Amino acid sequence: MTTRPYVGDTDCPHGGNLASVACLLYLAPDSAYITETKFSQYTMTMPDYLVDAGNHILQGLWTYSGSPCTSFVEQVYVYGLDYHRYYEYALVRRYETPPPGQPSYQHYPDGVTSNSGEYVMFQTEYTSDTTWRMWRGASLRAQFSGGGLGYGSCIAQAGLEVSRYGSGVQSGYVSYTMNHDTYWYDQNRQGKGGWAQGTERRYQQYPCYLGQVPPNCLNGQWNSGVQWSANKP
Amino acid sequence: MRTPRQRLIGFVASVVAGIFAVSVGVLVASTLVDEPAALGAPAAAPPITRQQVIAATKGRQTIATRIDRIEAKLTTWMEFQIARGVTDEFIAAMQPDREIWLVAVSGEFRPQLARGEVFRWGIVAYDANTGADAFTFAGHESWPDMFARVRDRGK
Repeated sequence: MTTRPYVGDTDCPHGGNLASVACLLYLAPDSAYITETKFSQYTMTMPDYLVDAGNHILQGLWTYSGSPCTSFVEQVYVYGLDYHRYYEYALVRRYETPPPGQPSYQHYPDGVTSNSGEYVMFQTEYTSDTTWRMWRGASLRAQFSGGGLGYGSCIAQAGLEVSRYGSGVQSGYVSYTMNHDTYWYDQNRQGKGGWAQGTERRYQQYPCYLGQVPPNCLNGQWNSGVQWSANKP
Repeated sequence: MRTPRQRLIGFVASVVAGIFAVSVGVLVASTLVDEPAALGAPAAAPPITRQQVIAATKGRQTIATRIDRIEAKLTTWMEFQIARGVTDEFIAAMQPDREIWLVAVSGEFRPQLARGEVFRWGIVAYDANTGADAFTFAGHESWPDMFARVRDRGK
């Protein structure tokens, strides 16, 4: 018995953790070949006892692919991952049907970093012939092929995720990292602009709407057609 | 009856074929000799021990939430990739000769970035020199076949 990645929203799939993410939806199947987000790495915190208990806070990019659209690759800037009390990057792959003999889930720590405000770009690129690349700025962080994913992306997400927040734990969380500049490119590598433009883009997921306050939501809004802002003061 | 020209051509062809055969033989022999030597070279004991990585994995109680079986093997990233049949993959953080401990567990495995998904097995890899996390794998079979194919450098 497995938990499907649809928990939280049937349109913009997400796990059980509270999130405030921009969502690039209603794409023709697997039509986005490059999805990316850019943001500045500022402070994110959670209490040590929660880190020790296996919780995390992160800002990241998720790129879904396949049919059904449930396999994904993920690149994150995270605090608290695997009990680590420091900031780091990580890469994730999750296959609905993995290539023969391969794991369903893979995750690689991708270097320790800081909260000094460095501007970073996460990018997922589908090249061709089932080959995928994950970039951080101009640095290639991973390349893989062999199936298990689709041909391009059907859904993309970017924003803030926190674990356990709202489930009896409401303080000690902060994310001053917030503004994501989101872009995507089609099969011809033509830039299609920010995710909030056009009919196929939408935002979600638990942003605080008028009259709502945390912990049952996180801050989230479009600053423009390009920029999704997700934070927790 | 072969003409002198045909005999000359035959001789040259024989010499070329002979050189080719010897070259291939040397190549094959060197491969056969080199490969076991490279794979079989006794590894110096790394600073991080088998007992330490098994204890560290058992301590991840929110990830390895139930452990029915646990084993550790010492290997390198390249040997592990070959064992699992992956030859065309690039991971920037993983150098081919990086020595790693693989700790495989079966039971219930819940990696933090899997969106709550529960797996039947997991592999947690640690850098054998520093103890730093190297990667985490998980799957839905009863036990990872790829782990069974890894030769343990630590024995």
